[in-house]
Amino acid sequence: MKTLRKTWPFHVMLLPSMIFLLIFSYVPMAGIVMAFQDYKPWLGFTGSEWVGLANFRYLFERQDSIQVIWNTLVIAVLKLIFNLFVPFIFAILLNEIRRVKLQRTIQTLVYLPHFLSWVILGGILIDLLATDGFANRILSTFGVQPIFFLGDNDWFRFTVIASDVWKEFGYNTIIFLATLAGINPSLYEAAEMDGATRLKQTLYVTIPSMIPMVAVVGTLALGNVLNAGFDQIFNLYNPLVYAKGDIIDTFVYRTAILNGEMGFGTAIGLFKSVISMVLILLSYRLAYKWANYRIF
Amino acid sequence: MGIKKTATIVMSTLLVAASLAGCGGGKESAPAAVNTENVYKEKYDPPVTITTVWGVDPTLQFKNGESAENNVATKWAKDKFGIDVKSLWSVTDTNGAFATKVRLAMSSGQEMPDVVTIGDTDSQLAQDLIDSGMYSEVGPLFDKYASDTWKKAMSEDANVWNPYIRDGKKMGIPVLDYAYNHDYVLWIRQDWLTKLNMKAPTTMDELEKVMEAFKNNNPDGLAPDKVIPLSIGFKSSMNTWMGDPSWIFGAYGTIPQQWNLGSDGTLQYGSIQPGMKEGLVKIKEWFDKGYIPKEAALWDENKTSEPAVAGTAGILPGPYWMSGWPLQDTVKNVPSAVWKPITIPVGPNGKAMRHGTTTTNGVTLINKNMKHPEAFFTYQNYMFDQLANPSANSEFDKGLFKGYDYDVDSSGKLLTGENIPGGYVNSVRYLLVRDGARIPNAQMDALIKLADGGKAETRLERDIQNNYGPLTPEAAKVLMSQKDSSYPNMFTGPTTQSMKTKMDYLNKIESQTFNEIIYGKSPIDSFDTFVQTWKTSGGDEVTKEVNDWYKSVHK
Amino acid sequence: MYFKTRGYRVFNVFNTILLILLSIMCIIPLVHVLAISLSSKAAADANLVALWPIQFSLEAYKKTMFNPVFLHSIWISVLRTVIGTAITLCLTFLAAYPLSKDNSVFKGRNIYSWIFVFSMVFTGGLVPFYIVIQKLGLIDSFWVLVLPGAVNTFLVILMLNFFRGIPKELEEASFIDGAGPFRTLFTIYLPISLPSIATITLFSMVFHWNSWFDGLLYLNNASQFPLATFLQTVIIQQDMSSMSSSPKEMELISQTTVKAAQIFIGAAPILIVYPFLQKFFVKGMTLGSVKE
Repeated sequence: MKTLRKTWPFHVMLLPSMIFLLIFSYVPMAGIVMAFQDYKPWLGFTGSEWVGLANFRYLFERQDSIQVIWNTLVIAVLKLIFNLFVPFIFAILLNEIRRVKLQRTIQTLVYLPHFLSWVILGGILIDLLATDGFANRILSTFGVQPIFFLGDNDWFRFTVIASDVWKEFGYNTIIFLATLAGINPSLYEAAEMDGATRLKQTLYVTIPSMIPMVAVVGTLALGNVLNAGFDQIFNLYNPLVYAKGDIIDTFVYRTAILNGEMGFGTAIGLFKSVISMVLILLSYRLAYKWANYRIF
Repeated sequence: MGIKKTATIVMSTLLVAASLAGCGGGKESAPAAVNTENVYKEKYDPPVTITTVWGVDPTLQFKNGESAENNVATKWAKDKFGIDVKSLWSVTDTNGAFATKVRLAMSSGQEMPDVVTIGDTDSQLAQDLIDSGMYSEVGPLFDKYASDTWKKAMSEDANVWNPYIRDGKKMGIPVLDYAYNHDYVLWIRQDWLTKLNMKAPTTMDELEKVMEAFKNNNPDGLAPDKVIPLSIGFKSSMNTWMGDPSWIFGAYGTIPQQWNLGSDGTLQYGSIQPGMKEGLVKIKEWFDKGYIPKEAALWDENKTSEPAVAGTAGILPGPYWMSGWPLQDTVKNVPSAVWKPITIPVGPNGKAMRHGTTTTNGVTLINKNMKHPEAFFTYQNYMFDQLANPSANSEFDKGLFKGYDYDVDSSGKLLTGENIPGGYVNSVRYLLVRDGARIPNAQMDALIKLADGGKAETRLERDIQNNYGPLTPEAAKVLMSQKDSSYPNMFTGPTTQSMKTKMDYLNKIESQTFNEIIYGKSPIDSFDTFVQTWKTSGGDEVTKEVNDWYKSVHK
Repeated sequence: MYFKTRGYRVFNVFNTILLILLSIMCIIPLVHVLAISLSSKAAADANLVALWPIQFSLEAYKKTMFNPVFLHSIWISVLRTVIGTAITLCLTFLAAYPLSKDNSVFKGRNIYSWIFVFSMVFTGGLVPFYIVIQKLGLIDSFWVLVLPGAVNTFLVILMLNFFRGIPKELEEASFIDGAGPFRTLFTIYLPISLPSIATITLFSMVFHWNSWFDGLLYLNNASQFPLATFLQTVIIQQDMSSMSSSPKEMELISQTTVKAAQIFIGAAPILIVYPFLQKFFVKGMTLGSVKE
């Protein structure tokens, strides 16, 4: 009882959030049963036919199943990595710009692409990356042969990942800038006193102070490990790159969403969630074991 | 947050949890009693109510503070027929929101509308609703209440009912569309032809010569790599509308991505016929010569129109109404540009094929629980009699609603488009059934009359003249001169079982193979491998089911 | 001082140039969209516009500005963003504090944090969610835009990690002064957490400003749409293949210039707010000024 008395304010602080989660997350989770049904809207959860694992089987039984899942993983994981490290490095570099006005201007400009939708960007990229487009004209001045960025299986994934990183790095930088702002200045003062160069300060003060946040952001991003970015792929892919560009979400869109197959859609969602959960758990354990750090 | 409020929320959560299990059942209902007395009236007093739901076209605008629920058309229906059109909900139909919302409404056991019209984009939804058993058989209702005009329009094409027949019963009323609306012609730069002193191509060989001249001897002096002689795109499919390539295969005897009637009387899938291979060889050749866009695999329909509007494309396949959009803008970029519609060229055997148009674009379903189904017919009969193609000086002679899609100034002059005070709105979309009422052949008849020098006298003729672009009658004439080359998709039934599970993969390998052949990444013989794979990966099953359906409707 | 050394100065020059180049790369597509929005329809439909308007025209902006639905949708969006962000901030701030404690201090902390994470990863999908919303009577209500997304696990976890960076001594001092957790949170943590609060605020604002799907599904009438939903119905590419089309309709659908203009008008408010929040990223710690 003694601990309860001391921690009751903590429970009170968490109560509002718990109520919201209960209503808007946990109650609707009942719908996961749809994953095991041939769900028909007019029959509901109680009336629809139970089909066991048939919905899951369909995901794995297609001739291109392995390819689609693999594409998804490769694109999503590479995006995860680059969307973590590019903003991280960018934040550190930006922090070195000492003219505040310039720093803020750069920060604002790189944050802008986040607000363009892929429908619009898709159109722009198709022109920009055409074989006689702007990008290739620049490359040709360096003697590079024209590259079919969006129509070549060897280049498509690169294009997708690069354009995604380009779109999001400015926005993702914000977390790290906030972390940088939170580093205790006295740490730098102490390092300066010891005669550490800026590089050393970065290596021994800045980076270690930011590592926990990198771990946190990285772990939470694992929740998306099977989301390779539907809007982007859907607007950029084409028959020439199905082999490397078709992902779970585009496949689900074509087979389930367009046809109103809600059971199948739920099954895929559940599959993705389970994989994500396992990875999050793993990464949580690892962070705790190696760094004695609880990510959440 | 007060304790009382918290308690309320917790309580309601529990309630929700409890009710989650119970809902979505869909009330089992007795079929509407068929009245023997004649309940049909021209005007209902007291008024009757028809409930409906709306998937509002994103481009549809409202004026004077109106909405889908409450507007000039609903007021009109109330005054005219004593019919209260009550909207249960409306949703702007983008990203499939309408279909999703209907399904969610069903899942949560909400009231379903008396009358609902579903466009062809959501054909699966229409089939689902029929399967749900909530909607009634419409055949007897139609026979009993529909006016002669409507019945006659419906009988112009016997196939229109096919998608909605279950066990011989008609479960939905097809929404008629104009015939040949998605058939196409080739639009060609006549000014280029004139300067080159060439005539419009009628065969594939002539077409190649024209494209060669457009590219390497461009009359506007454009460099060869700036010209796109033939603007087509493959991103969505090889059978589409603007920038469509399917007629190229048509020259070799098949139309891809649809079911064609074979010589043996069975339905055959167009993409696996031998003509496909010849067509692919041709397109590859054109691709290598630079006659078609380098990025054709990435181009969707809209993209193919860009070079046409910019004045760098020589030929653009597409519907007959394209002089009204997008081609009217070409002269703003290249003042000397002149577009002309021409027929599609014939292949080596002297035959041409183009994909045809089904004369429906959706379906209207009638709820089993609807108390006054006859009221719907009162409304719709009037539309067919008075709006679809009325003779001169009818109620809708000048347009549908004054101050909305037309207006008359103080001197009695008809105002259209931007000249209407407060702007034009497409009020025909406010009507209970999309587009009010269309009689399939009316549009082409009117166009041909105008093309032959007739004067615009009826509402329909005036509408075409005002809203369809200057060359549309001429293009319609061209289109109709090739009427026999029009091949619509012969399979219009509900998605079959193996289509649901197999078709996506089959479509995928199809597009992949075809595009790789055109881009030279696979040899032409990979077509044969594709055909084999197609058949063994479920294509044969699909073919069988499609033919079973075909036999069932063509007994 | 380190920044006076020669090596650092060289680095600084290269660094500045690199970052400026990157910024230019990021801004070009926007300039392109801006140029389209200021061009004539004919030039835009022909894809002739690069980075400078062709046949300059303000038509697209006029069309958008005079649309009453558009103006109303901005108001809904502002309301949604302000109220939604306020609710999220309160919930996040309150929840993150106890979660930032050590397990030894707050037993049961782990259970709570997994409840959060689990809810982030698993969802029941659209159907049950819609049923819940409907049973709560939130369909067609403004609150459907702010309540369901009020708790954002990502933000809570971000915040709790920011809290962990705050020196424990401050809290202990506060406890010794006799303050309870609530007072400590609001008098000690709040002023010192401005950079992180600014971050959370920004994320939450952007989330609310950009969300469109909920408006589309849960509101029954387009006149109540928030801006993002309204824009989505305009900007998304229409599936034109199977509609009953006529040139008039196609022209309405393909308003390239209007679409471009609306992207700008849509993003402008959130871009204007950004520089104000930026201040906090830089000042942050110095404001609360740690005296140890």
